[in-house]
Amino acid sequence: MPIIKCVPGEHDAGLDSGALYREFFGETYYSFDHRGVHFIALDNVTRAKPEVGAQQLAWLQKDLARFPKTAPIVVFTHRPLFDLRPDWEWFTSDGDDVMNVLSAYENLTVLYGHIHRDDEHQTGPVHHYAARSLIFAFPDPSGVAGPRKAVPFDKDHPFKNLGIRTVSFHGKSEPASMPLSIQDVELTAREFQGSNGVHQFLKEPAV
Amino acid sequence: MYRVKQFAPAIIFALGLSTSLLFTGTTRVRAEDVPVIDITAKRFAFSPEKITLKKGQTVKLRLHSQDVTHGFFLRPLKLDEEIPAGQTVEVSVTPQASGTFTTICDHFCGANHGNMNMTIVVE
Repeated sequence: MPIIKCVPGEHDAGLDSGALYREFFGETYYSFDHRGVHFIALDNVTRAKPEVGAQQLAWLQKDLARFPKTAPIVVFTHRPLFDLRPDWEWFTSDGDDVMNVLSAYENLTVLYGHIHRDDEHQTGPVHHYAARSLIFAFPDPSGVAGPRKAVPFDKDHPFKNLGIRTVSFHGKSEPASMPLSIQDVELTAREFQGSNGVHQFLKEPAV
Repeated sequence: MYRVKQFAPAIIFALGLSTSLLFTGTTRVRAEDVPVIDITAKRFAFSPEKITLKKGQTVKLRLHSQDVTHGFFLRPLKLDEEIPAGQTVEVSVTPQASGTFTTICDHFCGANHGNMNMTIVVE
């Protein structure tokens, strides 16, 4: 039975300081060891603003204190810990404080979400990676001036620019299908293109 | 304590002066001369959607929230305000660079939060 660990995004935990999330998934930040690697989940969403906060930062310093500088460490978080595109809210306001702690480690990788697209970035010795979303994509921020807008939904290629949708455990032939359908993708894409698709759907449930 | 009492009138005068004047770099502007711009935040938009400021001119932004708590974030103008639910906050700003900037709500306010923004043009 695989153990699944989660990290909240702002839509999961931003409105109620993570209360409902904790009820279903547990703590919003935590750490664990697995096969010689130390894993850390950081929460930069439940304070509503894009920040980690002093309390969690102190916890992080304490959590890492027992490890040598060469320890293999993987950090999961939702928003990028560096200034990727602040005017799209693609940043963490106290990300520099977090990176000051993390940058002391030579073999540390950060995996994050939020931006609904691929990205690779390096700050000092730390590598940051983001993967594609399952539901809709945002464009390359370096090529867009002004506000953030989702990549237009293409009905003929509904999964274009999206991430993996099936996962095989231990190489077995039975894939675990992701519970998202084309209807989910289309509705979400409509919402982010301003047609209020999701809101209409909620007001007028399908018969 | 004696010295404090002795200089109290001067201190009070200085405090009064500092509240009636806004210091903007090397120039001083009377508070009553500072233009005020009202901006309303309501899920999931700011109103007006666009304002125009002048480079080097101080303005006061009066930010109102009509529903939940919102943010008002624009790093190039050093704006990072929290607008509590149903309340009004004021912030003075003196733009130092021209350009067109996107201001965002950076306090998560609901499903369409990511599209809550407005434009500030500095001429």
